[in-house]
Amino acid sequence: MDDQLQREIRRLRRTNAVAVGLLVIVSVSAFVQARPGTRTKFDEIDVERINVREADGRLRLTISNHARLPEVVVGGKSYPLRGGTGVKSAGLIFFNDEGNEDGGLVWAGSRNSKGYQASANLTFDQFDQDETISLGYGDENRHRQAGLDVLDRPEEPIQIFAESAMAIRAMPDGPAKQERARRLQEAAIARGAMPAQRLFVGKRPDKSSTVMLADRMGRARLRLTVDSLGVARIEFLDDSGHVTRSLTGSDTR
Amino acid sequence: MDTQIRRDVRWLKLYALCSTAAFVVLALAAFRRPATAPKTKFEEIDVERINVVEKDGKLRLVISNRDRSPGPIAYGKPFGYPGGSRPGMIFFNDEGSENGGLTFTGKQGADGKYSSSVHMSFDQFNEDQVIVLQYVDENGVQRKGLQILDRANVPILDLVKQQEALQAMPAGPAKDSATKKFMEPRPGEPLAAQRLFVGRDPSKSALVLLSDKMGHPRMRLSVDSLGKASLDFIDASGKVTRSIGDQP
Repeated sequence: MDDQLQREIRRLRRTNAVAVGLLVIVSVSAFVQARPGTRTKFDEIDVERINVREADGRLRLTISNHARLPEVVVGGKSYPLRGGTGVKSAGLIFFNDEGNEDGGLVWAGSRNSKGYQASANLTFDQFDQDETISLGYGDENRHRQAGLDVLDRPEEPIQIFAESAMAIRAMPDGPAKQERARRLQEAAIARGAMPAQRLFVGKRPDKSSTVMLADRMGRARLRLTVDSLGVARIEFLDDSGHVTRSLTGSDTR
Repeated sequence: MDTQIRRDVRWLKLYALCSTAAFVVLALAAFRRPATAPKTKFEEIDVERINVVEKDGKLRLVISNRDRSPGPIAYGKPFGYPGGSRPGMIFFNDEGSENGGLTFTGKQGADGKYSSSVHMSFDQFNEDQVIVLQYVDENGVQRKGLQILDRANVPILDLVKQQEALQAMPAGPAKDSATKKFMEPRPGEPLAAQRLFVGRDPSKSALVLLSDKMGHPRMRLSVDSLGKASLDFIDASGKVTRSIGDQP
């Protein structure tokens, strides 16, 4: 009887030892990361965000849904300044070698209490600044614009603007806040730190199609248009917006 | 002897308890969805399709090879034609409806002829593409540039339904007249009208083309394949009413 018992106990010990050994192997292989240098193969994956990084961890690209869209990163610092308009964009955000945002490809569109809002944009940013090329579509209840914009941006880093914008955003709503925002804009104009649209090729909300070339202050100086009625026109404009010469299909001069 | 056995049994009980506990923990960790989504690091992944989704599962972006690429989807539901023809990226708006894409294809046939295209487009809300930046090449016949279009204020799903109903009709005068009516401009607006093209066309002309709401070109700046530059005003019937060339 005792012998029988002892044999069973010995067998149980062996079984247990093997079981524990297996458990350890399974746990370790389950939680340990894949070895470096390996490629992982998937047929199909669902994901909310992908970060493409350099080997040292610097971000180069995010691909994400709206909820995980990264904050604006300028001067190596994050600013929660995106999405002030309530547009729920998803897409790709590009980052330069220094980890600062330098462009993106984002899209959105949904119905709301006032109708609908939709947009899509591919943008490339000037170094340490905002978008200098923008190919985009914007639409609010059929008020639509679509086309290519080329812009000049100020020489100063956009971080200066971002810091001020953050300070204003932190203020309670009211006349003081509005006044501060107005002064920020005035100061930027005074020191020539405003963006200037240099070229637009596309269609406008007034249902015209147009090619517009502007001077360094962003003033339209040459405009090729086919308006909503189908009238084609080439206009030269002076720096105050007056048309100084106009060509149409019916002139013979 | 008895005390030896008792000690052994105690040990075995302890073993059993520990391994059961460890097993439970492992099983829970393996099958439970983590409350806070973890970040996983890969150096490189090979994948046939990636779905970028919102937390509720709504599709925002598909990155895929040709075979797994989706067909059109509106409000999360497929419509129109089946998938498998659009390798690249397909974008979806906040409501899970397709609103653009970036696709790339190109292959040479057994006859040595090739066809190739790289295409990025943005769609009007609940409609089809209004911005198209693309290169299309049929064995050397190329069209490349930026195209801006108007689209009718008709939801694309309605159009697809109407089209499917049309296709289901028996051939005959009724179908012909219904088809004609479908293709006709809605009150003053065609289903699609190119408003602007900036690029290079199959005749090897560099072009800036501005068109009216019906899609008729009304102003054309071009340098043709022989280097001749001109600026033409065109009327609604396609007749050049004024041409400005390099000679005064």
